[in-house]
Amino acid sequence: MGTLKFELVRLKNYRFFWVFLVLYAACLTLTFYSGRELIVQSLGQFEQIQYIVMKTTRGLLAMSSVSGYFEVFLSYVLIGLLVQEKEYGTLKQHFIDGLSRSSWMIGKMFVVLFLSVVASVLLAGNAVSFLDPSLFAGENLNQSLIIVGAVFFRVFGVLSIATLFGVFVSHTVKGIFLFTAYVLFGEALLGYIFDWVTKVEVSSWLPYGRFRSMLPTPWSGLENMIMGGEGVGPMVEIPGPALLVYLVLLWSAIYFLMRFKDTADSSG
Amino acid sequence: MSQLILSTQNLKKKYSGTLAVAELSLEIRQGEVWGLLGPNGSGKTTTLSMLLGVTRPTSGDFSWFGHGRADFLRKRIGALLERPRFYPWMSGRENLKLTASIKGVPFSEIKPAIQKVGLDPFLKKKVGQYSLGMKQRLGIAACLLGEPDVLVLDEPTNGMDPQGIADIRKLILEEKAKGRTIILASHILDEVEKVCSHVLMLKLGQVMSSGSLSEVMGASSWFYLSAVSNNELAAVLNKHPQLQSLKIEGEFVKAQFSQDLGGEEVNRFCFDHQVCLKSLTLRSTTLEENFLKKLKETGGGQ
Repeated sequence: MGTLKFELVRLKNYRFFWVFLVLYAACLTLTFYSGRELIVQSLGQFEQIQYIVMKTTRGLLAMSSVSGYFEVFLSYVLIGLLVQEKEYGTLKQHFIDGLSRSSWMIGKMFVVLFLSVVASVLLAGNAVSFLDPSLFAGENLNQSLIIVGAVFFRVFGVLSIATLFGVFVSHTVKGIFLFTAYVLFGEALLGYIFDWVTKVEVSSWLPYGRFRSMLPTPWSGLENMIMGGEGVGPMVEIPGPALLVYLVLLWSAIYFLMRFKDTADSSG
Repeated sequence: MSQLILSTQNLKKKYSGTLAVAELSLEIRQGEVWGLLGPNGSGKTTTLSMLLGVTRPTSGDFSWFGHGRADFLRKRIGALLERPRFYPWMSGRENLKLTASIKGVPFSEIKPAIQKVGLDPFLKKKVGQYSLGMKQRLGIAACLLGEPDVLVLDEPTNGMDPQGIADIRKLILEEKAKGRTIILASHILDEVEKVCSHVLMLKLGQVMSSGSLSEVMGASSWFYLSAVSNNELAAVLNKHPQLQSLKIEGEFVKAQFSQDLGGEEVNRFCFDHQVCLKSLTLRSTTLEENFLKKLKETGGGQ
């Protein structure tokens, strides 16, 4: 309980965190709103198609795929949250005061969990507001919950990777730069090297790619929505043992890095 | 014998080939006030960092309160290492709330701790607007939260004005009077001498000297005496069983005894041996003189 109380006091006073969270919510809402407007305009005269496209779980799936881009805001805010503890030396002071590494990690897991819940709830709220309220009722409910669940796990996974970056680096800008480079090119490059060395296709099993591939890419999500494709079932990956193993590995790495590395200030 | 608070066994830290602390073995008991002395780079902060769980020892071990080095034991320690560390965008009170929630101390204890260091008018002000001295006071308030068994203070008066230094010294003496164990690292040797009962002197990670203040200082005082005949006086003083050294320096006889004797005892001894003193002056070495002498003996300042 002390750990959660500690994280709550810290988050409550962290303006940067709330600003980015609001920015995330605004971007997500704008995407839903402008996405709907775009479809309404382009399919103006075909009301029947509009109905099929927007008021089914395919619409929610497409929007969830597009909204994946905004996870980057959440990753940045998390990296900032972690690295600033080192920049101001407060991490060192917290450990001196008796905070254990495991409590520290549980606190960070709580933040990641909170952000994942916020992302999922915002997605569901936007779907109800801008697509159709019936998406979370009746026969749609199960499929919608699968989509929201996948978004939750995807955000949790991506933020867990961001946490690992936050633990490694000592400056916020450096952390954000390295994380961005990793998700844009780093993992693709690693995948290429792994595939070349092992002669087996292992690139699709690298962590960021695995978490992202729980939902279709924005393009195939939109295509599926407009053209009518395979539906939600085959396009959403329900987290299997591999993803859970990744989460365990990521958090174990975070714990051991904190446990066995000297805690230094990055400034002053 | 009072309770063992801290024991270290051959504690050692190496940073990529550089020895920061070498084989430090130490025992600190309840109520003792230890001063950690040493020039820059002597290993004071590294030693404290290891004891406070932020740096891993290369070898050796230590134990707090006879229970090892588990994280939760540090909740019984109030520590300020190198400099105060707070979130600048949060108020003093909010920062102390964080410390209180780690230590499991009720938030109601924050106000008394803040009042103790005289920061109550600035409780709601953001720490980023505090001066270094104010941050230092806030750091000490954080240390005092939850009435810890041990205080570890690394340069606690750093950046403070003379009034602030006097206030903190008073506070340390008050905590000492309560029987609290204190470990104080400071460059201000006068400060250490005034408050400490024990001293650990370090140089390049090696222990130069350690023990109670009187042990470390040794025979720290000597007498300058004069009589009608200094030769006769010297001959009499030579008969004193506790005499350690004797030298005639100009018009005076300089005598040092193995135990700190009072002027009255020395005067009576001379009188009993039919020597009337013309003058008697007692002079003590300060910790600073002693420290500098030891540094010189072990080869220079660094």
